[in-house]
Amino acid sequence: MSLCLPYPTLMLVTDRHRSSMSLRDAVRAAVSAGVDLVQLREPDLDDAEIERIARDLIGTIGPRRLVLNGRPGLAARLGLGVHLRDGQRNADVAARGDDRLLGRSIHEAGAVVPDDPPDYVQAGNVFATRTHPDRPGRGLDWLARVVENSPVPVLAIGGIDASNVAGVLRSGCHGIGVIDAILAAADPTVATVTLRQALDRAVRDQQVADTGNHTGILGRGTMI
Amino acid sequence: MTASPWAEDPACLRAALALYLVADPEQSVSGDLVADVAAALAGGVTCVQLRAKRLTDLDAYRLAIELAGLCRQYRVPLLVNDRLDVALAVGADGIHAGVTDLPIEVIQRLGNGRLLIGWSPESDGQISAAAADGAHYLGLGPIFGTATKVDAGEAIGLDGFADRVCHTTLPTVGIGGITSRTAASVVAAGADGVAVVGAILRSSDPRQAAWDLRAVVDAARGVRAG
Repeated sequence: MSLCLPYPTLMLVTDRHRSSMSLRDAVRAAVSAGVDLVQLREPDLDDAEIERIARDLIGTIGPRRLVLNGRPGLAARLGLGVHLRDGQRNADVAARGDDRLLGRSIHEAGAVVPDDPPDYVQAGNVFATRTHPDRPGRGLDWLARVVENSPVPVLAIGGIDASNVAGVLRSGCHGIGVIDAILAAADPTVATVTLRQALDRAVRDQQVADTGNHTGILGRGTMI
Repeated sequence: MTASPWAEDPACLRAALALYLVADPEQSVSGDLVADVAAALAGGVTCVQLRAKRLTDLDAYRLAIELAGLCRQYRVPLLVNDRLDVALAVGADGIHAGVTDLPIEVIQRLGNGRLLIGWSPESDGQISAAAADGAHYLGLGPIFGTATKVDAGEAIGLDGFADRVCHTTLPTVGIGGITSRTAASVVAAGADGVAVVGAILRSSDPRQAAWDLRAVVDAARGVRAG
């Protein structure tokens, strides 16, 4: 039984170099303002430093919302979910079947291994992004194709912000991941609230469009 | 307004040049250029140039506003061909100029150094000088015969294109009669990307046409999604 991500999911992927405040403060602000899931992605830090930051974040936001990018061993030890990098296999995650979240990035539309799917896949980059300046955005049709081919929820990532999130959600994806839209903002709290509202509004508008029901407000879904 | 990220970061610019749509209202078979561009962006176009040679200022301005809104959502640069006033009026990311347009340094000055500048040189000397003149990328062609630009000159072919690319370190796009069948050969000849007009705008399905071209260009560039 895979874990349930709230719909729509707003995931913050960290890059402390983009943030003008401490990572701890930025993450805390973002989670209190509406981020569902935090993926700690600081590839230039060693495991000891990641462990220190992760323990600190667990104390702030709890373990359920935190996922480590790569580092399956450390994630297992800390009881955290893990987001696998390219080349890491699901089987590398010790004790699969426990209730820790497992995600992975995918780069091709049909690339999810169906016999051992992760709990979610992260697909991108949808638009041009500072994180991967050499990779052109794949566009919304590509995202829609990923969604169509994925047996598990798809989180879209890459250049997404409040201005374009509605189109992203129309692809059928389950949520979004962002770095700059929150961390590079002058005020991560304001940025998160703006993004959260745009995301929830996009889902609501879509539901209204789908059902013609103008009174239905879609709930935030089950918290993981 | 800050400088265009594409003007500042060559890696970012090379990525954006992968599939470059020249949006010319005269070439849209649907007659609705905005709808065509929206469809092409969804399909995977990475850069848009508004080429509206014959529209009035007001019509060009209105069209540019709509395209700027679309491009902003997709985080794709919008350039305006030649018409600097229109580009500045709508906050476009850049200008694409030719040898009979305003000189590059004048465009730079009027744009306060913030504009992405593409240029279409017509001689090897101009190609070599373009980087020092301040151009950010070059459009080179016509590679094949083209039906969408009457003053395009003699086709230079893939060999001619490869020769010209050797004269510059700037990013380049090939242009002129490129289709999904020939796009890979243009990239193989040294282009960072392909610029198309008819291959998308004269298609019955601009979205699918963009998708098909993008797949070919990505494969040829060795770019993986991610």
